[in-house]
Amino acid sequence: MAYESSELYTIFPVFMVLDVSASMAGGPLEALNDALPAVRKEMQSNPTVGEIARVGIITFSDVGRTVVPLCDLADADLPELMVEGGTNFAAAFQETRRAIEAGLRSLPKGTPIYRPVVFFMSDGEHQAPGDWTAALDGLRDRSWRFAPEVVSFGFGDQVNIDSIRRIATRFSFLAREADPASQVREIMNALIGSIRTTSTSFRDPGQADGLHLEAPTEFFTPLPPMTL
Amino acid sequence: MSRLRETLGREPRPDRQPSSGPPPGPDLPPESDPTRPSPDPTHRQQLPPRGREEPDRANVPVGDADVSVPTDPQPPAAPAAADPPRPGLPGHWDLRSPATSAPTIGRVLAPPPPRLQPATDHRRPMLTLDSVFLGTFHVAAGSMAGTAHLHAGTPCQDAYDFGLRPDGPLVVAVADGLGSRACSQVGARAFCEAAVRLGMAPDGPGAAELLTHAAELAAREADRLGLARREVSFVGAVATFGPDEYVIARVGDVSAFALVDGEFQELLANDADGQVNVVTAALPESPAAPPEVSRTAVLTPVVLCTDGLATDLRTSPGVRSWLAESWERPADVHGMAQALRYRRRGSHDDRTALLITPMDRPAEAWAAPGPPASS
Repeated sequence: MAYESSELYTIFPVFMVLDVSASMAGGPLEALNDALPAVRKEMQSNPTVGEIARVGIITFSDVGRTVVPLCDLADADLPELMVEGGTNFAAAFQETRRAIEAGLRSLPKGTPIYRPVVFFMSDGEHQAPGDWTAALDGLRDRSWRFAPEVVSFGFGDQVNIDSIRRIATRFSFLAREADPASQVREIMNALIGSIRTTSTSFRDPGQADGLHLEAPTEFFTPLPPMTL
Repeated sequence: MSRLRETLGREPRPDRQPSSGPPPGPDLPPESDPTRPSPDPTHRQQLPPRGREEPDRANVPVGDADVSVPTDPQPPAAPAAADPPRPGLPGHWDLRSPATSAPTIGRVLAPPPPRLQPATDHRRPMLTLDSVFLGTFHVAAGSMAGTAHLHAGTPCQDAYDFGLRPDGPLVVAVADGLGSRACSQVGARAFCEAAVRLGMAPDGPGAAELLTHAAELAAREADRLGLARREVSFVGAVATFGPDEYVIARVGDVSAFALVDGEFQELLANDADGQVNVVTAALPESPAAPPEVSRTAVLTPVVLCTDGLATDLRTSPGVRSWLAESWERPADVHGMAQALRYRRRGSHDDRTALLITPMDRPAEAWAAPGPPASS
């Protein structure tokens, strides 16, 4: 077997799928916008994260948008997330699959990659016409080469807990803080911690297929996995 | 000229970028030498000859992803330099770091200040080195804690050991503790020492049997220390080097490469499509994972290594070029440290390598008294 003759750097692909529907207006969206620079700072200051993790950001409301394609976030222009309309989970999952496919296909052949991880967060439930689970199945399709681990976070009073459980491949959480803005902050802290821990851990066949989550029970209630 | 450079025996090549901090420019170019003979086209996995390597590439974000793009294949030479200052420390506490000709490959961030978490049990040295003649072999070995451990304040989890069986074969063991297991360095260390100890018996067992028995003894060591067996999990290999054949047995993703005419040829299969953070086999597990065994009668220098180094050998022409040059002939301990000192984007795992070089006669035969050296 011949190896590629160019430098191939190890990549840990991370996709943040963020709800920007109308219910996120105010504190929650401000907390999201405040947290993005912290994610970038981690990329810039910690070599064990910044040299490996590549991040894509997808927002969803009535439609799904890739606002930051998979990239080195240290060099990216961060978007200011804006409140949009309703909540369409199907659009979110379709756009996420597209973003994963595009991001990983663009890497040089033979690039060593971690299994992609999708961090999904929402304070609501699917409100658009039509079924959303087919799009979720497409994202989680085990026969797909780039099928990600999907970790879901729910928060706020209107969240549909069963949907949050169903979206996750194995791990889902409900934020426990008193107000939605604080919940978003803790979710983003958990996301940063999970990227850091997974990036710096190497090969563990027994613990979550190499995914290491930092979701302390002080701030999160782990939800039981849903068997489909 | 520095002591280390003398050890390597020649000046660093001018096309190599020294470790002088996060380089703004292109990555290390692979060297091109079309006059080199092609490596042995056997069944073994084969790295591309240097003459076929593409021009240099830099890891820069282009469009919507982090991809490699061709750059100038001949960046200007720069003087050897020390590592850049570590972040978070005042200048007078920045650690002194001697200049090195070891390359920096790709855009890297400043290394973290090395730390050790309080109450760390079973600590291992951050750097272990050996260079000895044993029978008809020279063994140069090194194990270096990865950046990830320095940042997290946890010990190096790799281990190695070796010894010469009285009836001749050289027995070598190498292991890589699983990253998230609290005491995997205990399992890795116990496994290597047990494999060599068991392998010293005259007419002792072969590599595969040594591996299996040593894994069981590592599990018992966990029991003795009151540790859960899963907390000492590791991947490992045992190899026997005889006069006519090398036998390598492994479980997990440690690997071995033959060094033939300056080219690395992997002796064990690697799942190129496997995901980096997912491993399917480890030791000690029940039921025990069956070892994969490789035999070769092509008696060239062989590198046994853990995944931190193996991944770089597979994916980096810059690392292949650097190590082929560094190991063109056996290194002393300083040369071994120098070889492992390269920096590469995304390469943060522990690095462990054993370079086993066969000789046509024992070192003692070369050390016969001769005429006194002139002053």
